[in-house]
Amino acid sequence: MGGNARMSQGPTDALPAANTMLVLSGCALFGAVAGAVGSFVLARRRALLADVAAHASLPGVCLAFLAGEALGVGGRTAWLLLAGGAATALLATWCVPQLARLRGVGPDGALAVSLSFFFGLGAVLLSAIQSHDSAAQGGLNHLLFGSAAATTRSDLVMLAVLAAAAIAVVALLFKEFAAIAFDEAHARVLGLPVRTMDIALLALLVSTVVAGMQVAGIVLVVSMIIAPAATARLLRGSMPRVVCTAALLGAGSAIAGVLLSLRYESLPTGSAMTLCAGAAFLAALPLAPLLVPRAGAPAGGATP
Amino acid sequence: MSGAHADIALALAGFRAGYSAAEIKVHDVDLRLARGSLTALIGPNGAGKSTLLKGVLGLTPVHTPERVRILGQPLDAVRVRVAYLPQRSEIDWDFPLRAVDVVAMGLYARIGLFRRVGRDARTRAARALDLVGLADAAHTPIGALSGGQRQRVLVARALAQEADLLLLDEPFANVDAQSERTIAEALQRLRAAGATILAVHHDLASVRAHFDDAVVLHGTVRAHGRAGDVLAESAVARVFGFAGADGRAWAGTRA
Repeated sequence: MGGNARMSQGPTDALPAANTMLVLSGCALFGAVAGAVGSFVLARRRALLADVAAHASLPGVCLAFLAGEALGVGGRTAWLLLAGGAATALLATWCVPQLARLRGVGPDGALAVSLSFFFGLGAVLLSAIQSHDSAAQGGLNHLLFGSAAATTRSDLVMLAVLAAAAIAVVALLFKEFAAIAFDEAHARVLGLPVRTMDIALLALLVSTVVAGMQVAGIVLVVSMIIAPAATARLLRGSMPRVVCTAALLGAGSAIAGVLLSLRYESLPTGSAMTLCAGAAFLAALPLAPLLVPRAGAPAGGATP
Repeated sequence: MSGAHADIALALAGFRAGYSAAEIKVHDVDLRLARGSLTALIGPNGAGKSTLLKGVLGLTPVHTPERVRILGQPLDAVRVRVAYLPQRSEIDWDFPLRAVDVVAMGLYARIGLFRRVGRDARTRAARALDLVGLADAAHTPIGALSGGQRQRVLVARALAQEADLLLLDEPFANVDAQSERTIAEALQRLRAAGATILAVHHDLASVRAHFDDAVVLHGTVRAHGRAGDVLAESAVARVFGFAGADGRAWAGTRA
């Protein structure tokens, strides 16, 4: 099992057919989770925070890689990279409200400062790793834009575990997520655990980002979280329908993106996925006005 | 709970609330609302009406919860029995929800974490929607409702909660005549059932029609009594630069 951990090192390695299926299902899983989690992130207006979390995972991943090498367990250890990425992503998202409180910075300034500082730190660490030891960097060189072909078996296991956890959390706390996103003040008065729920959503978001960064890439992973959810919102319907539509769109875009990037080797997987998710959004744009519900009629029943 | 407390639904003594230590919007508020009272909270723009409601509910960054007693107890002990209706404009009406989903949210504290909205909750929500005349719109997405209908959905959410104390932020703001009538009836019915209602209200001309009592707020409580008496107090009118028999013009806050 341990020997399989590094099945392929780059997009130029041909994948056996069975592995292609494995990679495709892993990416579909990621797309579905990203879409579902994204519906709540978008509803809670945390889209830019998701971008901060994604970019800020880079320094943590690099540090985890170095730690793995130093400890002799191998830099490219999925769980270690997950933990490292999550740590700096959480640190950066924690910084945002602290910075926003400073006079003259404001919420958007805080997002920008936090994102660029952590991503810059990550870029420095990444170039240091790449110049220092090119043999060991393995999958790290595709970290920015993603490469499905560089996915390892342990990446896929991690994606499956994440998907199961995300589905469980979303299913168990669906109504609380919806209530808090719709009317936070009312939810607070009811005594719903707003803070705990926000932390749960952040945890889901960060694990989705970090689990997806190998296939989608750190720079573009946020688009896989937000674009399918935005498309689903355009298409209307109740919250459960939006979540399901976003999950399906996410899985579809991920599969299409992987197939494209396997066909055209120079095309990074994350870029291809993002283009597919964006194309779905554009395709939904002309449909949206047709789906605007009329007063007094249930969704779908048109009474002009 | 002593007998005296049992008759007072909301008691504030030296209450204070605001957005920071430098921005205290309401201060030294002493207020006692009897159970079963239906009270309008009036005052010029910026008088702190919304801040008072939010502060009592612990929603402002600065507030003094130790100076609030609801049904004789601190808020945390009686949350389920308190309903809040925020200003309609503070809510994202594009959110993918149907009217009945919003109304059922009034029951979420009762339903509890991890549980689904069951048949019983759905029945209660449907009944509340019926009381505000929106039985037919239960499955309509909230984005497709008119302003008045949206307001009625929020009132129905408060009704479904079957709360003992309702704090409503402008339930009559910008609603059509039919919605105004329906909401007024709903409030009367709640009061008849023993609930206590405090509602921010802007239109002075309709205070007497919709409410029994009135509280005039301007940083602190300036007057409290029967709606007719409070509005007739010339001192109050002078303090607020209130002019005109139709009562629409608060001329400003300069003394």
